[in-house]
Amino acid sequence: MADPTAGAVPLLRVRDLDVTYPGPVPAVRGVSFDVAPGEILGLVGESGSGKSSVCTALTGLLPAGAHRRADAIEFEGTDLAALRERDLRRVRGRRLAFVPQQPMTSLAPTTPVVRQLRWYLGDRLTDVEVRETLTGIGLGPVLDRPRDLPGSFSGGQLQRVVIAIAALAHEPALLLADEPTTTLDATVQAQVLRLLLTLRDKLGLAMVYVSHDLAVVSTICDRVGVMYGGRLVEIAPVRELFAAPRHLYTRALLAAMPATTPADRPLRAIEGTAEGANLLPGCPFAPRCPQVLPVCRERMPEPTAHGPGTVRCHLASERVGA
Amino acid sequence: MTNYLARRVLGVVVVMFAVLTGLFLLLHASPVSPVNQLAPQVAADPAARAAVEHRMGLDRPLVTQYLDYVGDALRGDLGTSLYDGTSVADQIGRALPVSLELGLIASVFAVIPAAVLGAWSVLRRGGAIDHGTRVLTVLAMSLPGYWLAVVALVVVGDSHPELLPNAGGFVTFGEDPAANLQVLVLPAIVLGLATFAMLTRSLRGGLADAMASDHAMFARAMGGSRLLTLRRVALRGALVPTLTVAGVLIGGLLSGTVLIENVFQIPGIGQLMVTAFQRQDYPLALGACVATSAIFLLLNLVVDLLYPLVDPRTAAGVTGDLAGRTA
Repeated sequence: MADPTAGAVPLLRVRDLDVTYPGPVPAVRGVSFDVAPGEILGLVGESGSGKSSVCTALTGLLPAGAHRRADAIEFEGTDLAALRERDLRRVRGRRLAFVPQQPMTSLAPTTPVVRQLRWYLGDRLTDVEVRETLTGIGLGPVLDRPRDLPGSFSGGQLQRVVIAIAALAHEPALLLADEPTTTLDATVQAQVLRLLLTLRDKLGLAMVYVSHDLAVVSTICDRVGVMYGGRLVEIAPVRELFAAPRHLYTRALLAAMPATTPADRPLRAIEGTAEGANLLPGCPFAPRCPQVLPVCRERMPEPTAHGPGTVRCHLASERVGA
Repeated sequence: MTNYLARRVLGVVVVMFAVLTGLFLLLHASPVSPVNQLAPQVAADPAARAAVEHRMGLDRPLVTQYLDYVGDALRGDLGTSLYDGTSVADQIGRALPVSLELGLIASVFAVIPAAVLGAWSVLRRGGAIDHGTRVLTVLAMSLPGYWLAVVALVVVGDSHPELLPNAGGFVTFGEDPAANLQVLVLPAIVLGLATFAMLTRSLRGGLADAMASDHAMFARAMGGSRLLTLRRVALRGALVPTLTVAGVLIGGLLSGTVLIENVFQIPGIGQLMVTAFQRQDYPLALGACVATSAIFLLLNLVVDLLYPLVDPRTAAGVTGDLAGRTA
């Protein structure tokens, strides 16, 4: 899916990415997107839509038995798919950082948090500047308790530690954040989001932000990709996507947002379930789509450019053609 | 931490006491009696029997006998053998080092290859080492020890008789270290094989789980190699269950093994125990059992004390638990 907004060389260029786990159901099918330097790309979708798998696949750390295939995963001009494990390690953490979903379990439970910070930051942990940054993001209390294990800190503190490690250990150009605020409560979530934005402004890093929270995505992202049934069905600048969603799934998703529903009306859920969508030969959303065409069930529509966005929908293509 | 330590030590003392009591009562409830060992003409005469029982103190109430035994045991006196009148403590003192040495060598033969192969097969998961290790451990676990011992005895003993402890010719480490180690190698391998297999499986399983955990994933996403991640992040978590298994298994190796000592004619505590029971020499049998249990319990105490070093949450968890209960 070509990105018309990116005139310059993209930082990350993913083409036709497939991810499969053992079993018949593919997790990700034919996903293509670009990330420009300094840009925040949101990936939204329901549980099981494959958004986390995209993230993990980019790091090359899929669990044993999982399989990744792609035409290209170009990052800073090198094809990650072609790199050997040894060379990949020079990219991981250094240029391509990863913030996992579960802050409570992402640090080793039996080693004091401060010692783990030292694993990754090394002697820089004693630098005045680094300490100031850490204190600035509210990690002063963590630094003051050098013997305490992860279990004695809150989820918000641990998530900030993890983000600090990911962002500060080296100078990453791209941060993959896999639902980093899902397990946190609303106030802590706001703090963590602010932290991510601060780091972006300070370090100029780009981000792939995976979430199912449309409100968060609309606040922090520059562009948004919508995933359904392992497919990337639409990708557009955040303003376009929310103002004029083109894929019917995107529309249904936005309509189901509590914020768009008047307070006195019941919440509108999308009819049906996403079960089995990953196996369909056509558009994965076809069984639930209110305006489904016969062709939708037969083949997956090709990506079509619509203004600054790209969409994979037969209906959207027809409307343009008509 | 001191709280944890105190609790564990106290636990061992209580269990040791219970074991001693249990063994004492069991032996007294059994038909085994030193009187059975008397010459038939003496045993047939009730008066003579009673005299012997009186001399041995067997006519006293059980409680008195028990308290006497415990009191003596606390002073290190486990009584005298009914067979030859020698001190039980002395006999155990001679047999125990032999068993401990054999167990120690067997443990080394079990632990070191288990650590190497367990870690290696996780680092090269699904590779040749992993598959080879699986086959090897299944084989090692399913071959019965006594069969293996006999096969080793026949096959190796045929070509290298110097590797076998000849009946009655066992030399202790103090007498001739080289000769002593030479004859213990084969029994130690046979003895340690099953332990090696179970430890390898346990470590591999624990490490594989730990390497799939969120924190190992994060460490690798931050550029850590598999080896570094295993060492730094995964190992501690994987060690806790393996340590538990190791405590029990190595306890079994150290506290004397009847079978191996019997087949290879090694004068250890297992051998002593068998002889004692065959001769209905119950002070010796009781003493040997108590010594075996003590070794086993002490080893588990060592394992308990190692837990907090591997996983600091263990000690914290116990004290926190206590605080919660008293609050």
